[in-house]
Amino acid sequence: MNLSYSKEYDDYREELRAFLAANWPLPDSLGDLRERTAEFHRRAAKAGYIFRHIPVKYGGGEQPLDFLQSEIIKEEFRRAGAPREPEVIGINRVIPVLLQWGTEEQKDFFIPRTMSREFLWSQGYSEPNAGSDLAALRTRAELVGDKWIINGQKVWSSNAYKCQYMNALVRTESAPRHLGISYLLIDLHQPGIEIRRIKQITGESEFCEVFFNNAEAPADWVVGGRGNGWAVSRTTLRHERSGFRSVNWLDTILRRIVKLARETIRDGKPAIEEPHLRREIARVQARLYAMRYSTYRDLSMEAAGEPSGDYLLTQKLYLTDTIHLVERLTRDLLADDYLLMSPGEGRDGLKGNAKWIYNAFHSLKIAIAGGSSNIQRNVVGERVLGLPRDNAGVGGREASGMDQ
Amino acid sequence: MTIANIRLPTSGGDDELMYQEEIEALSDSMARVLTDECDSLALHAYMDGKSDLDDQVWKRASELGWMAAALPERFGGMNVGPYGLEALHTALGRRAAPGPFVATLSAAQWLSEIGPEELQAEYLPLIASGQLKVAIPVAVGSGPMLSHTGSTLSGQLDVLGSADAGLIIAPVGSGQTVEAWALLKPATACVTLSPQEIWDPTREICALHCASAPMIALLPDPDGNIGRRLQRHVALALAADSLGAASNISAQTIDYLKTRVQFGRPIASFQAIKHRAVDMIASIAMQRHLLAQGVESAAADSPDADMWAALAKAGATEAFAFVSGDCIQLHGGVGHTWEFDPHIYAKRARLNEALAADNRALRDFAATALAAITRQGHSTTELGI
Repeated sequence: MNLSYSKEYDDYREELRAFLAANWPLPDSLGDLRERTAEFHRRAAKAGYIFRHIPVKYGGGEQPLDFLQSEIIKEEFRRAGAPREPEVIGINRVIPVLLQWGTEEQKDFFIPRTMSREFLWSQGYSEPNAGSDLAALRTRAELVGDKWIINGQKVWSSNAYKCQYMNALVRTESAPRHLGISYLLIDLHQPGIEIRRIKQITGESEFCEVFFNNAEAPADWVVGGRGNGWAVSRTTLRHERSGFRSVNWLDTILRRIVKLARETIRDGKPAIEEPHLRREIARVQARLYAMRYSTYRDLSMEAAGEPSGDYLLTQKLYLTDTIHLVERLTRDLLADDYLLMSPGEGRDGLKGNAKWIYNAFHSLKIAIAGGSSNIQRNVVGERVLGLPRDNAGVGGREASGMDQ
Repeated sequence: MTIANIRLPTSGGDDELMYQEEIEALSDSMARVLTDECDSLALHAYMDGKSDLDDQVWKRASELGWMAAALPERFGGMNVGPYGLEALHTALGRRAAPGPFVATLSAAQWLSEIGPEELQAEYLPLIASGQLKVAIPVAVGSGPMLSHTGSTLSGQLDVLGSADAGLIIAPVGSGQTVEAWALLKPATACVTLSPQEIWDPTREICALHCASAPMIALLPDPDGNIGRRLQRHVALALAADSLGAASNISAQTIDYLKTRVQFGRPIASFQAIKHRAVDMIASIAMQRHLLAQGVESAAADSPDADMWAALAKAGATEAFAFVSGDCIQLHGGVGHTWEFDPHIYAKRARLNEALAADNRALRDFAATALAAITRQGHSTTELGI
């Protein structure tokens, strides 16, 4: 594995640096931060640096798949402090689905305005009785004339109260479990939908319950065909290498922790001189390196056209455990402040150490979000190690959570 | 039978046998009262600012003599000492009860053991009757201290206890080492307690500001014995609080696991879940034994008592932090909501862990104490067994 970039990529990096120097930050005369960010994103997309998976005709960057360029872009944006592509449901989940499965009408209507953030999306998957066992979902949609009539309930839909649209998994067919599910786009602003915010342990209320009482959606807002929702929902962003994203994020956190450890004085000397703390920091750093080089290796194999290894599947587990270590480290370092910092009304306006502690509480949810660690272990056990599925109360295949 | 109610065997010291019935009666009565008055609904109402549950619980505690129980009879107590305190804090921790109990009860026991008689005679009856609440430093033996100029004290530090505390205990020194312990009363402009916002909704921490403050008394502490004695009782209180709380939230969580159905079966029937549940219970059970050791040696005032108290606090608070975090995860999505209980316990756990002294420092201290004791010729098997 050759860890250095070739000249081609070094030149690419230089070009990008020149672009960033010329285009970020933009002068205040162009508007407030939101407007300047939007203008920067327009220019960056035109230059092919962001929205690379989206065709130009929708306002995207339309670039061929090139993971090394993507990595360079992430590094240089971070260095320049330039705003990255927003990581929101609309961009990350809905647009890839529409690009792969959507009709031309759906793409034309939704994609450009989702990119411009005019349309904000909330995801409607989980239900009170369908969490880990998503295929058990019960919200139904029935075709009546040219409309779907929707009844049921979704839960944990982040930000639904301030979004326009929902991408939902609903039951439209009589076939059982995942076979009867369709991917349906729903306008949240209608009388048949009630949204209730749920207060979280951090004091904010971003999660929502969404109740459908004869709510409606146009017949042609199903994506990918009736009864195909399970496959459609599994569409991932081809360019998304969450490995790098996590590694860069962890890297930033680790650097901040080291800085904090140097600045915190305990017993008359910097905390970073404490042997125990050094061991813990080294442990996190070792895991970070392991993740970074595993990601590089995976990337190299894919770039060389070889089947990539199993790293991606185990990565989330490794990441989750690493984040818990980071949470403990934070707690150790901020011991006294930890006692006293309070959530207030959520994250905005938190400064300094308060933000750390907020993040620590927030990090607890990572083990659950995106598939609990237990399900992840099942996935790895069955797909990677070929372990037999759990025996079930209701049929072997279903009990393990693997509906394929 | 639920896990929470299993009585694990104690080491059965003399005092404990003597007061066994009193302690059991106390324990049962507290459990009943707190189950009624400090249930989940009551706790949530208090957290949402809709009730004064802390005052209500304090009032009941005073009426039923809980504050007095551990104190010697001459101060109106039942003399159940550290065993009684263990029962008290376990019961209070179980319900995550609000109120300055850890601070007041630890300070009272401390005063009854090391205080000059005049101070004991003046303040212990008031504490025993519930009329007087006490605040103690959040960090005992380390951290900020007040400075002594002439006959007054100045400085600031954070204290554990309610803003209406009538008595404050604070360390005094030159800034490097604690030289003495002061008793103070709140007084306008010169001794003020300002409530601080913290993550744990069930306890109160205040910023103490002293500006040329008069003191009621100053207890010199050249060897650090007085500070260590306070730390001993706070450590045991936090350990008992932690284990009571951990027992309760893990039992509630196990009930949830039995009722929550996914994939056509209760999720408790999955082996991975079973193993996690057992890991929680096992860690609590282990720490119970360590706490029992700490309580017994504190009751006998044996030379290794401070060592056991330190280990008990470190172990129990870490177990509680682990258990409460796992209880959030085992509840799945709802574990991350305000409405369910696990977060209350997770926040209490993290405060317990941070209070009194850093757990690493406590283990360093215990290691030093163990080394000193063994150098005196005692073998480790002789310690407390």
